[in-house]
Amino acid sequence: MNDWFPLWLSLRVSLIATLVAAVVGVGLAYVLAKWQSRWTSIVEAVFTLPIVLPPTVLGYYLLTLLGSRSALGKTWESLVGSPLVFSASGAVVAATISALPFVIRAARAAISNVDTRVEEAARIMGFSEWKVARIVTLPLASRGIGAGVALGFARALGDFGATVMVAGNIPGQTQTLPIAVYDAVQAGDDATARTGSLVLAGIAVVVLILVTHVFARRR
Amino acid sequence: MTRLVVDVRVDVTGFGVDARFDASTGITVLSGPSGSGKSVTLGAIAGTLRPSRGRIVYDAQVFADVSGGVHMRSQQRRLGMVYQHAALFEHRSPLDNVRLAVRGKADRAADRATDRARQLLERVGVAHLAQASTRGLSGGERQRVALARALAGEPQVLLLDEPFSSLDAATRISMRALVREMVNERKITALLVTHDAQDVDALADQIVRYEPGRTVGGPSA
Repeated sequence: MNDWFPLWLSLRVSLIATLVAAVVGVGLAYVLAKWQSRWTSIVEAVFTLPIVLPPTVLGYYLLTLLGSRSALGKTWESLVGSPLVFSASGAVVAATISALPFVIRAARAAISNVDTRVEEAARIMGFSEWKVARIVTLPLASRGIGAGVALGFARALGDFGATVMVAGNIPGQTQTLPIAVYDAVQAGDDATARTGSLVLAGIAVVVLILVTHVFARRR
Repeated sequence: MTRLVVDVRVDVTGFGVDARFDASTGITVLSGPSGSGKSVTLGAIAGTLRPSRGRIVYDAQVFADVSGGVHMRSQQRRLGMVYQHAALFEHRSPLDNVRLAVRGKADRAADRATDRARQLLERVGVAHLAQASTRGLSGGERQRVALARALAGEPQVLLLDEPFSSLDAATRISMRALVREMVNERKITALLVTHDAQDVDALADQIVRYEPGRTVGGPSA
C-alpha cells in the first residue's frame, strides 16, 4: 500500500468521533441510568437505532439531515464556509453517530450496576450530585465505559456505509481506509486491499483484547 | 440534651412502616425481626427515602415534614452512616475514603483533611492500612474504615445499619466496644439497627422495638 492517507484519515476521524461519542454518550448514559421515566426507553431506542439500521440507510438519513438544503447543513455552511457533507467533517459526524450507541449502551449498563448504597453513602457524606458522579459513580463504572468506548472506536474506524453516503469517496479528501479497501478490490489492486484489511483487522483484534481482558477484569 | 424526634410513615414498594420514637445522646437500638422496617426508617432519617406522613426533627432542624413540604437533602443533614457491607469506595484507598468525608471548607484543605483522616484511622485501629487496597480489606477492617469515614464529617447523628452482622464473633465484640467508645467520646446520637440480642444487651442506652410495619413501645415520642 503506497498511499497511507486513508489510514491517517481513518485514525483521525475515528479518534475525534470516539472522543465526541464518549463525552456525549457517557453524559446521556448517566441521565438515562439515573432519571428513569417513560421517556428514557424512547430516548434509548432512538440512540440505539444506528446499531440496527443498515449503515447506508443511516447514511441516507444523515445526508438528508445535514445536506446543503437542510437547515442544519445551511447553518454549518454559513458558519464554516463549506458544506458538511462530502467533507472529512461529514465523515466524523457519520462515525460519531455510528459509535454513539455502543458507548451509551455499555456506559448505561455500567452506571446502573454501581451499588446505589455507595452513591447514597457519598450523598450522606455531603457530596453534591456532580461530585457523586465524578468521584464515585463514573470511576466505579469506568471499565464498562472503557469497553463501550473501545467498541465505539472499532465501529467508527470500520464504518463504511454511513461514511460513504455522508462523506463520499474522494481520494485524498474523504476516502477512509474501509472505503479504500473497497476501491482497491474494485480496481483489482489486491496488495492494497490485503494491506488495508490487515491493518483494520489488526486494530479490531487489539480492541477485542482490550474489551475482553483489560476492561472486563473484575472491578 | 439533644433529641432526634421521629414520627413518620414511610412507604416503599409493597411495604410501609410507621415509626414513632425519640432518641437522645447515646445509642438507641432499633430492634426487631428482619423486614420490620428498621432500615427503611434509617433511610428516611438519612434523607434517601421520603416519608409519606409525619416529621423528623433533630434539635431545631426539621429534616423532613410532609405536611409542611420540607425535605432537607441528605447532604445538609450532617449525618454519618455505616452500612452492613460498609459501602466503601472500593477504587480509593482507606485514607481517601475517610479524607473525602471531612466536611467544612477549612477542614477540607488537603493537608488538614489528610491529617484528620489519619487520626481517625489511628483511632479505629487501622492506621497501618491507610494506603492499602480497599478491596483487600477483611470484613472487620472494612467496618472500622467505614466507622472512621462516618465520623470524619463530625456528624450530629450516627446511623448504623446492621454494621456487625457480617462479622465473626471476635470482631463483632471489638467493633461493639469501638462504637461505644466513639459515641461516648463524641457525645452524639447514634441509631443502631440490629436483630441480634447481644448487640442490644451490649450497646443499648434506649431500645425501640419493631413489629412488622411499626414500632411498639420504646422511648416515647
